[in-house]
Amino acid sequence: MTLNEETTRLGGERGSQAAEFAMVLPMAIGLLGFLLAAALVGVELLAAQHLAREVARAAAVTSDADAHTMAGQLAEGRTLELAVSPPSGARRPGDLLTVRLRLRSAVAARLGVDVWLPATAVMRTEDVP
Amino acid sequence: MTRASRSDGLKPPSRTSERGAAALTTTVAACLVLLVAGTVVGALLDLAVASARARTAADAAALAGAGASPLVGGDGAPCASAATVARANGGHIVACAVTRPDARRGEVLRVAVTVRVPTVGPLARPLPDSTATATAAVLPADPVGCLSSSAARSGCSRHGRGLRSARVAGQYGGQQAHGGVLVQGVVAVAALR
Repeated sequence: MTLNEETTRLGGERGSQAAEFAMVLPMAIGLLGFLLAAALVGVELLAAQHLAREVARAAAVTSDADAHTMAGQLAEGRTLELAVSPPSGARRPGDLLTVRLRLRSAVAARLGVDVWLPATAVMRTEDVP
Repeated sequence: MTRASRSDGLKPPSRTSERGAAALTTTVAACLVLLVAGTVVGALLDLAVASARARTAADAAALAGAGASPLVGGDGAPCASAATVARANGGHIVACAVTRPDARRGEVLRVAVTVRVPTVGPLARPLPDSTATATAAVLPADPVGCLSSSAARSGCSRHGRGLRSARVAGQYGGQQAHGGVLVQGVVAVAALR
């Protein structure tokens, strides 16, 4: 192999390294994006759990209507589905009430995916005058 | 490879056979990194959700325990009531203590509950369960009334109308099994008859 051939070969390897880097780079960026999105969805999941607890607490001392109003305020514009059982007319002090909510993930929605984050909380109904 | 080896007439090893090997190695390494990172993130999310559920369970259990106190017309079994609510929230009670810290100031009762919630995701199985401790108290009437939680305000305002003379206050602290305190704060106040 002449010096000229060696130089040509090394130049070709340099090109292949660049090609490999170009191939891996989108994968690395995608990985970082995926991890970031997963972390943000995780934060939303925690927010959903917090929301369920607060709404359950409100439902334990007030009516379902007040609990729904409060859920709307705490959700800060995010879409959610909320169910309280048994309903405020049917539960008595000491009964356990269950709040089930599903919060639509804003992060996933921005990525074009429809993800609903579930959360549940159970509280004891209190005897509030 | 030396010039001597090239000049002795031996055929140099083929570079063609190595082509793509680096790309394959890089791809496999990237896949492994993706797998490990995804597993770690998934496990951490599982743990965080279990921790949040433990806080919810402990909070609800402590409040239920305080609400079951005979001081506020309950059935007189705070720990049994707390255990029921903890179970309904997916946890189980590790410890429950009922104390009357200051009898001179009237009817004061505190229920301290520690609840353990198992991590449910398959990725978090090797991780410890999440535990959270909450305290709720049946306190004498307080004209000042409200604490910080928005959930409590409705109860406080009703209480502020002076309808009856006791209230239940709750405070929780979330704690991982390995010891770090995550959350500490007042969560709820409600009027009771």
